[in-house]
Amino acid sequence: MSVREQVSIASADGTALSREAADGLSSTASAESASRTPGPGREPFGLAAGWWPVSFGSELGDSPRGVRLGAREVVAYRDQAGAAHTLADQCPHRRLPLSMGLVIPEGLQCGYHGWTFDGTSGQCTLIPNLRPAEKPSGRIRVPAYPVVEADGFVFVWTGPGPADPMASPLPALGAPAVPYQGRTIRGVAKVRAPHARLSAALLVNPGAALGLSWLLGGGGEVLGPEVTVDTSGVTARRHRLVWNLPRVPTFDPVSNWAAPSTVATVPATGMTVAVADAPVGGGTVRIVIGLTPTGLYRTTVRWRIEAHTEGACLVTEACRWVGAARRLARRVARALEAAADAVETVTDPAVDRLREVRAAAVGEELS
Amino acid sequence: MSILNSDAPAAAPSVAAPDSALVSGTANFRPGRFALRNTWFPVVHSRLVGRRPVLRPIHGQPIYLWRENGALRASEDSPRDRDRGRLRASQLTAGTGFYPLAERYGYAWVWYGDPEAASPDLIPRIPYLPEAGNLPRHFLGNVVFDCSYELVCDNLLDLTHADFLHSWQQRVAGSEISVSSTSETVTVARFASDRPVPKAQRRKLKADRQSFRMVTLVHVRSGVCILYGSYEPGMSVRMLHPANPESATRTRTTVTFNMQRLSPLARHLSPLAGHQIACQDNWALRPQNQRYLRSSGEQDLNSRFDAASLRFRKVYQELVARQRLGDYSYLPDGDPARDVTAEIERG
Repeated sequence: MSVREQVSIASADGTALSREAADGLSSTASAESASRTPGPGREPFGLAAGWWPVSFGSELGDSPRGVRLGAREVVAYRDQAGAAHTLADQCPHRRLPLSMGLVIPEGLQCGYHGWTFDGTSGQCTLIPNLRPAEKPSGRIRVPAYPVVEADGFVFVWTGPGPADPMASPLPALGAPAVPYQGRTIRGVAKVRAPHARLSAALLVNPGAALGLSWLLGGGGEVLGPEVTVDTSGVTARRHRLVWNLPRVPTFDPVSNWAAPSTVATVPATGMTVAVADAPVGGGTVRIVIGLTPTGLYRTTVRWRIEAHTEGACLVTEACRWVGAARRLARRVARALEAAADAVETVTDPAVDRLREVRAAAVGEELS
Repeated sequence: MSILNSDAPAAAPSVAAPDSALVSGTANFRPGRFALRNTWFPVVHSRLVGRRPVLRPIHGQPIYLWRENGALRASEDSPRDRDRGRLRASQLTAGTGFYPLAERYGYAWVWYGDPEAASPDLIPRIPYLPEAGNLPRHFLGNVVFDCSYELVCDNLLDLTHADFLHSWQQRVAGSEISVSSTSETVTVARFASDRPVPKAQRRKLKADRQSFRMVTLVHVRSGVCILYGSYEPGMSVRMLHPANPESATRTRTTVTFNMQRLSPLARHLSPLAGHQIACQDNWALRPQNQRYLRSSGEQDLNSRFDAASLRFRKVYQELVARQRLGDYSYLPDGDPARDVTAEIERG
């Protein structure tokens, strides 16, 4: 028998073996994970406990929406009464994603066999073909996660057990006493950067990251930062130059126009609010930024810009056009990625405090 | 009584007992992870093979088929590679490079396993198909699913998804399911009477209600499925629906349609209609397959309608367990060539 023949026999067996070997490997892995999470419980997201944004409220329409959050896939939908719900995105019957299903009065219905689940409890409410007197077993349920809607975002609680009543989805900053009913601008970008770096980048320089330097300042720091840490999060106040122009060394910058901004972040989730003075029309402009980690190096960034006075509506209108131009030029995600990369080398007290708070939370969890 | 049937009620929930075993012995069901051996696969319709070689892998192993002076050949290499001297010669062909091959029912059957055990007597007996083949071209279909063959079999045995996934009318009242099995096959039959006739057929059949019987017989080792459906009044469906496992993410079904009591036009269109239904199945099977492949040991929950699917998993797992220990033989009750006509027609 030639060498070639021997090699090909090995490879022919190798295929069968690799199927076998894969089986062996995964069965040990599954034994471990099975002991970790017996039955349908609340599955680990691999994220800190907190309210994580998964979508804009306006993104949830008639059909369910599959979202990846951390290590898990969840399905978010709005029931016929208008309330938002999230469930694990897998039917416990034959594992079809529930996001491929339909919303019916009884709940969210899987598209394969029609098993239907209640959004609040995850309990199965309907199995087609059962006799009228029969009810689905109480043991048939999918993990359901607490949901809250605030400031146009839908938040999911990722911690074990019911949501912590002390945890707030948003930092307490700049929320107007009377919500202004005018136009708000929304934006979404899928960014190739890890969540922790993006959240630090938004605390340091949200203007440069979001292309809003004319509003929040995006250049060199002129005043600040003034960092405060409280229960709701880390807050930084500073003035930045609006134009980040090249400068002849040792000379004054061409423009000294600086914009003040206040940025607050929830340390666990990176949910960020930035408040700036409107350059025209008076009043303030509030920018709410949500980060949804969808992978180790993937984050979906959603932001919402709202003006709190009639005059500042000019600002939101400008944001709309600038945003459209940046989308056309494909600069939205690129700017966020550049900001996340730059944060690696930045020295900023606000980021230091943010990291301290996060490390303390992790230490608390471990102990 | 088969070996399996004798102890089956212990593990598979009976149809009459709701919720008796919600979480069944399905935790170790890992489709696409094990290649069952020593079986014949109907890899291609033999009339579709010419001088030009076609590649039909089984469990990731290459099978090239072509005709040489009219005679069918099945080899591990394409003829061009053979000419260049590139020769694969695995244990599947005992070092010869050529697979055991048989032509029957219009298919080229290729043996996957130990060539010494290859015997044409182990080719499944297919009722309603002539042994010599020679079926017209419009009887033949070729459907590719993006999943492992176990899930295709699971889908075919699961007769309740039809009301939902292929839903023209949703609920079917009063349908009964009966399941039986041997160490090699699983059979499920479903009867329903007084079911509303689909709108499109009402005028032609001159009836509002019809009864039907659907039977699926699956050869677990090879995925060869026999589908039999009879609507009264209405058409009769007699199909051979092999599920050839090309890989863990790809299953090729070389279908033969034999539709009865149907207009000639509808008979000619049936392979296309098959694609329409397969498309709906694939919509579910494709994401399902990913989740079974990267499964971390979660268990499926079942209703009392899933008895057939559970029986399939049980027979499959027993075959896998035996083959892991090196036992590739057929048990006395599992002769693939036994006559199943009565079983199918009685249900």
